[in-house]
Amino acid sequence: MKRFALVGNPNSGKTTLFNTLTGSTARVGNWPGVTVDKKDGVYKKLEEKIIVVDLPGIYSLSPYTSEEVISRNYILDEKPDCIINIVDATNLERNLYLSTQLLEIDIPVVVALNMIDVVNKYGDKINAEVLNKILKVPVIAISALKQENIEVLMQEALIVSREPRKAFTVLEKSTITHLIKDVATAFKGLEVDNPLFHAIKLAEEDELEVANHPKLLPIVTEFKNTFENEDFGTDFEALVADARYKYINKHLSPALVRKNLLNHELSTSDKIDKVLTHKWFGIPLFLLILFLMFVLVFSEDLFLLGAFGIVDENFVSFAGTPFEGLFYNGGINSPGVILFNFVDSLSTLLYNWLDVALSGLPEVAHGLLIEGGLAGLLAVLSFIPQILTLFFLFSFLEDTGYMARVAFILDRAFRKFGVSGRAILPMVMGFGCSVPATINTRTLATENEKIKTIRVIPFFSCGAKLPILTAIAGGLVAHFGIGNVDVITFSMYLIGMLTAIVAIIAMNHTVMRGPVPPFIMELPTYHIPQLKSLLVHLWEKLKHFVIKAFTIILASTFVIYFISHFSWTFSFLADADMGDSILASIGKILLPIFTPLGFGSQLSTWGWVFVVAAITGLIAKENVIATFGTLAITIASALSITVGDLDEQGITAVGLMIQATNITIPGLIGFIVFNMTTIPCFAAVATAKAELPKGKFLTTILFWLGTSYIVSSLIYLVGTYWWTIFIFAGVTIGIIFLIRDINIRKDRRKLA
Amino acid sequence: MWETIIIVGLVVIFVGFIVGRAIYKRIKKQPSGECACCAGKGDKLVERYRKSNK
Repeated sequence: MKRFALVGNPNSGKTTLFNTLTGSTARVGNWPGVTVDKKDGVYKKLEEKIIVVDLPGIYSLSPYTSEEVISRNYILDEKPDCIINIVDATNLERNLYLSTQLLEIDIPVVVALNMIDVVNKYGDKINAEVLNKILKVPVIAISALKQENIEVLMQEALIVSREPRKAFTVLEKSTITHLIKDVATAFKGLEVDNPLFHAIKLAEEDELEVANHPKLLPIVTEFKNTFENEDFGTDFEALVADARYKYINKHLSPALVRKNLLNHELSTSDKIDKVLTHKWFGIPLFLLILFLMFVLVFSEDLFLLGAFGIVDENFVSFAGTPFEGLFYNGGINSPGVILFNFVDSLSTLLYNWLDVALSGLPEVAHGLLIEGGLAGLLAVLSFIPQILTLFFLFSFLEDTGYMARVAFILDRAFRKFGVSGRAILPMVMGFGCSVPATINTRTLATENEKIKTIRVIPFFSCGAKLPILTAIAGGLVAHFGIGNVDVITFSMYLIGMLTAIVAIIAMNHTVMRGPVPPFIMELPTYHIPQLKSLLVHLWEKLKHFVIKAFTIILASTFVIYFISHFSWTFSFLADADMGDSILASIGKILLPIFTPLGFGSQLSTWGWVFVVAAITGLIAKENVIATFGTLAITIASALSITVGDLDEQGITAVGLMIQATNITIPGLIGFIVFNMTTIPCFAAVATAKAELPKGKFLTTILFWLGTSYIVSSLIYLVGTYWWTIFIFAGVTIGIIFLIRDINIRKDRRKLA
Repeated sequence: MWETIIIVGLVVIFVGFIVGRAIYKRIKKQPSGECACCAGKGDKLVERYRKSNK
């Protein structure tokens, strides 16, 4: 079976083409570096079926990061039958730089001129026939997104794959042609595949090539001794790059006519960027957009129309109908809250129905299924609408191309803290899930930057932590009558980001000192996201969440119910005796550790529930609220608290826990912050272990534990005893001066 | 009584399966969670094709 590899610059549309060809739903995004590993799929529309391989994006075949090595090694070692070189037609010059290198390999190549629809829309013109003559390989204009000319491309790829192709280089007339020919001859003698490619790379003194063929290096060194270029000296890498770009620019002009260049106009993307990436307004606009997203997901009084008296109870209240409170409850509900209310009503109906239907079962079996499994599961599942709404909005921003701008506008600030703008993209991905975000750190250039980023990714609250935030924010509003859910949730996200910044600064001045790598990233063209692509994102998220709920979370709720209703002698306990259970005894042992954080020994009898909830959250973060859901009914029954109807199940459970433990507002916020910043779930920990360099895993675990403990304690203590802020400020200033002093001494010693 | 035994038994089997699967994946270094979803999709497509061409 033939194998075709999709090779191209980051964000040129390889994964979109891969999904179109194979019917797959691999993650795509409108920013460079989404794909960090190769993926296989099958294309079935030709006379023979083809394995299509999607490779991580690369700017050249001289790799700098680990995922770039994956692409280069695949092309050279696995030798695909054809390379489909995806070229972003909106950025032809830079994309053809890679094409000129691919032509130096003895593998058939077809150039796919992607995004031709965008080029036409802007009024530019590209002549594929002229390009065909320049590059000496077929050039097909396509639109992967709109599925234009895909079959023609694949047919052409199949035709060229049947004949071997002889490598060709655009450097034939460069000043180092003789050197390249000499080294190529030496490679031929060694019977190495692709001698021309290896010769050019060795002439450039490419790190991998020098390591693999050290014996041939003297040829280059000898040539260098007799060579001097007035622009580049003996920097052959720069000389070769210059020769490639000169060739491209010289031959490209007949093929490309830009309307905007003729008219000296700015493109639409440039005009939008003038505002969104503005030096002063860029960051405030980003925070405003982020806040609006939270308003759309969590607000129970959209745009404060209710508070200002613009709408009143007559507004779509549906009073007296089953829809009462769905759209209006003192203000207009946001789309996220409307969906939440709807799903919550359905889950309440389901709970009540199953509760009655299974009421004939013995107490242990009924409790295990209803109070244990079902209550815990519904407490988590009821948050699906809000998780999906937030995820939809993030995906929307990502697909428009705005997220790449976020990396750009934050680069200047983050560079001062100790990481480049490139590190911001995996951090923002962390809002969805820490696992792919951690894998994405492969795109970072230095080990230091990668470690710093992996360590702070969990502070960017993922979707799984959303139930904790929403339920506790809801509990705070309902029980203490303070603030709004959307403002509290947004503030918690900001606290997470602030913790990340402080942690990066701390690492940058202590254990991870060193220069910040340069940040160069192409800003993709803005485009309106395809609804299908957004729905595919949502479907993947929903599917994963539901699978997780019905496996790990359900199993956890069963175990929690079991060990919370049995003593160490395995006798079943009544609700009022739950304090003697296995779970309670474990929680009580650990309780003093969490006292400085506000949810330890200072709480009343049932305080251990907060401790065990935090611990079960280490398996999966949704377990925190599932634990409350599982234990809430039992505790309510033990304390004779009326639960009422179980609407807003997670929030009701938190409300009950507040009543049962007398936890304070700072204690609750300390609890949220601890769960947001401590060790992430099992899956994220395993991924971090795989991605971190040797010897850094244990220190990373300690880092997460230490940071969460310090930040939560700080919030609880300052929130409870305001004057402690002066002690913390004094200690912080002392530590800053101490670190500064140590660093000065270290630098002096190095200089000496 | 038998209802309790059946339900508790089923729950124990379910929990055992979930925990066992997680341990197996950890030992065999197989992807789990969202990574497993992505990795599985590509493998299945290729496997299905290979079977149909045997």
